[in-house]
Amino acid sequence: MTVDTAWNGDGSRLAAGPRPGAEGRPLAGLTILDLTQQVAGPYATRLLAAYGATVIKIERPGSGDPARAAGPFPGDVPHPERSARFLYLNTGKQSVTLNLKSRAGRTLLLELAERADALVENFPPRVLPSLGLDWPVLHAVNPALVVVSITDYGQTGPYRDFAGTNLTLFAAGGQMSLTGEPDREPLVNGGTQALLQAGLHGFSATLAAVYGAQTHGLGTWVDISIQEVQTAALEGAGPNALVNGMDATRAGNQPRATWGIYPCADGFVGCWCMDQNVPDLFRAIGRADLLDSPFRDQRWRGEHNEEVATLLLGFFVEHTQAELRELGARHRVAIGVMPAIDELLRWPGLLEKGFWQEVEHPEAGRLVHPGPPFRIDGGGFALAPAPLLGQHTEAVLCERLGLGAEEIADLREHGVI
Amino acid sequence: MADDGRSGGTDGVAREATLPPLYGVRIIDLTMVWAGPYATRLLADAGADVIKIEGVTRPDSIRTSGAMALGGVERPFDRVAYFNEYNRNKRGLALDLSRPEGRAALLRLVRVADALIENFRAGVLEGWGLGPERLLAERPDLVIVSMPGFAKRGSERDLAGYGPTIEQLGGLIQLTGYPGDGPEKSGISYGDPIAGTMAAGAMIAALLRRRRTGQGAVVEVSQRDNMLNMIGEAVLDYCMNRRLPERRGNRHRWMAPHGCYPSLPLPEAEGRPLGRAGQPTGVATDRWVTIAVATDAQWQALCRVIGRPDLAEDPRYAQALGRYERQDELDAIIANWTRQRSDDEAMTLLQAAGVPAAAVRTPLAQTRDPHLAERGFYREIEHPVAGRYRVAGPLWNVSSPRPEIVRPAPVFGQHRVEVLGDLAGYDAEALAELEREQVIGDEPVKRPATPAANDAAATASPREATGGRR
Repeated sequence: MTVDTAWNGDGSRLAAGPRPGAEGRPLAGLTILDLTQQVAGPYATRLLAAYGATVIKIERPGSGDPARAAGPFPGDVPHPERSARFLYLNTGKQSVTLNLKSRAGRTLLLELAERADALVENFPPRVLPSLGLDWPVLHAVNPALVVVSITDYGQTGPYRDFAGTNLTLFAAGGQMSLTGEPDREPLVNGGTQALLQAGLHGFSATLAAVYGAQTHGLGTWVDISIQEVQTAALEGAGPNALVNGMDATRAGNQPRATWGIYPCADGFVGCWCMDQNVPDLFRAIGRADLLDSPFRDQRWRGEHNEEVATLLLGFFVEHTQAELRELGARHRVAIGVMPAIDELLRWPGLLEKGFWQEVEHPEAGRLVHPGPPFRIDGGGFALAPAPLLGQHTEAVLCERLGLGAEEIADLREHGVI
Repeated sequence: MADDGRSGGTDGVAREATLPPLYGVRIIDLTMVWAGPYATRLLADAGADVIKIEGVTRPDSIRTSGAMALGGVERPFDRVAYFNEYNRNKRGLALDLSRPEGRAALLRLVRVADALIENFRAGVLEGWGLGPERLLAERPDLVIVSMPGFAKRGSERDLAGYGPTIEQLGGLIQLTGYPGDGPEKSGISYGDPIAGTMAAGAMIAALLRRRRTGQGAVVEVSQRDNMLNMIGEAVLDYCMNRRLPERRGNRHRWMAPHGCYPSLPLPEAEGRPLGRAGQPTGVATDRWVTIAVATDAQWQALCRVIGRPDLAEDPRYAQALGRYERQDELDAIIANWTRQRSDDEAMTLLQAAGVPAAAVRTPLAQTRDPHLAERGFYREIEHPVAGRYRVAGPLWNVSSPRPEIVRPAPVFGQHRVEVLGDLAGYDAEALAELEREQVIGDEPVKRPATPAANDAAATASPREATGGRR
């Protein structure tokens, strides 16, 4: 690829400004029209909002995003403003209710699209065309608009309209075949990882496409497939299958004696040692004598894996998590505990950097959220509560589209908002 | 620019972009192993000019570990499938950063770069005099992205961050596992690709800010902090209910049935060969299919497909709660049906009735997936040493122009002359001098490493080399 030497795609070289402080979020000034629901799409736009974009979330009048009904809820009592899934994934967004099936609703959406940098959606592929809101229409009203579509299997191909959930998509992507114990069934990762991985790609891809749209003056339509996102992340096993025609299967919790999870006196402990860490591992378990034995030899260990595992297990089951953690730290080997969420909430390394962030929500109260996955000059990230259903409908339509009180009342009466 | 685009569209003929989104962005890539190269793979696929810099004495450890397994072929370090997959679309050279001439060359490249990304252990770049202040002095609006396992400073600065460590200290591992059993690790080094994807986005976020304000940036992507963002729902549940997540295996909080069921195994003769090139470890014949019933209507459909209309009429199973409470018996009934057919057949029959179902695709089965084939997902590529091979395609499928694999992964040291000559202004004589002094080169050099270089090394054995760099 030949690339010219311009700093920016438009050939301009921007002047260096003063060193920035922690305030000032990187995506300030971007407007994202958010037609996402459930998990994958909302995770993308949650990140966009946290880093400073204005995210206008369009919800169905009445019930809103189905994630509002998904829970978990405080005391397991369903409430549309108290679903943990919704509250987590929609921080910092504005909620506008709009019936996209009505002519007026569609018109308002197109007017909002004219003034947005990107539209992010994760409907099944057939939905937007059925609403008359497919890419050619959006591109015509705003040629600089970026449209990002996150779907189970992508916009084309024979599985395009397949039904999917996090479980079936984790299987379809290939990561599940590698997870779990060799003598048991393949295992899905905890939470909704298939969906969140795709949401994360949605975040980064939106930014790439917006960057390109600013450079070229033309938006693009980005097709992200939840299946493909995982298929491209099978570590060495993916290319090994493609190039060598060989497969991989579940390696379980102990792919190798020095690389695995062990029970210990009061729970479980992880032991992750590459060959160069093995001397420190032996010192940590008080067996420096093994440094002059066949145990030091990587090949020998491979051939005597059971023997090595028995040695380590014997030590670990005699020691507590706290003792092993201390030994690991002292000898600089990755022997580690498996903190649960309550322990993570008071984890020193997280507290010292002020990671956890408390967000006060009018209906759900104060909840702790994970903080920044990345910091720009030490900051750039901020959370605000998830919106109540339709909380910003009037403000957005009045301020952005110049609608008056009478028009708002009329739209409300006709069930458009 | 945006206004130009808009006026261009008012005639009703919407034009299409002709250049990839990150065209014109130049990135210096000092990362190794998986997390960092995964980030720059995404950026390169989106059109950025990624220049991967390895050490002359310290190649990407994926090259060295993979080369060991390939044995006595010529330039084995250029034939490693794992390396060649994640480093396509990048240019590459090898530079000895432990020596002043190497550092001077890097700084010259920094002057003509937009961004630099690294995943060294904390303090390594600083030890070479290449900390953020020095880089920004060379290029004030540079975007610098670091990917520590935990933190660049503070009590966790020196904590090793291999893939499983990130998953373990990032809380995910406590959520994964068979019911009643302990935590279970992911099959891949799960922290790596998610850190890479976030790092790619973080870099572009900083580039967007630079375009608006002119500012460079120092960006820190903590791989563990990123992982914690993948369990946010469980964190909020804990805050609401003081409840730690339960390991449910393949079951769901309320959907039922919801599981992974055994399919008819492959005939032994058609088994899937396990292992790596030249190192077969066995043959697998197991096949599995996942089924998730999200609605009562899907339950009715499933009963029809498996030939059990009696169950569809049974009021005990009509609603999710009843099915949830009787999952064991339903799972046995479903498994009895799935065992009699292939994973694909079960998937196809259930999908035709609108029931979410998918075969558990293995890496090899995935390469033959008809859907991915129809989408043109896998792309063929010609490599000067490794020959023709297939790679996974770009993931950000922009409508125009279609993202392509325009170059294979670099062979070791491949672009040193064009990069240092064209971009950093070295003439032929100066390049020859660097080559003679082994500051640059096209083959890994074995030389007693300086302490700093030694500290930076991430030597890993093949199966172990799955972790992040740190």
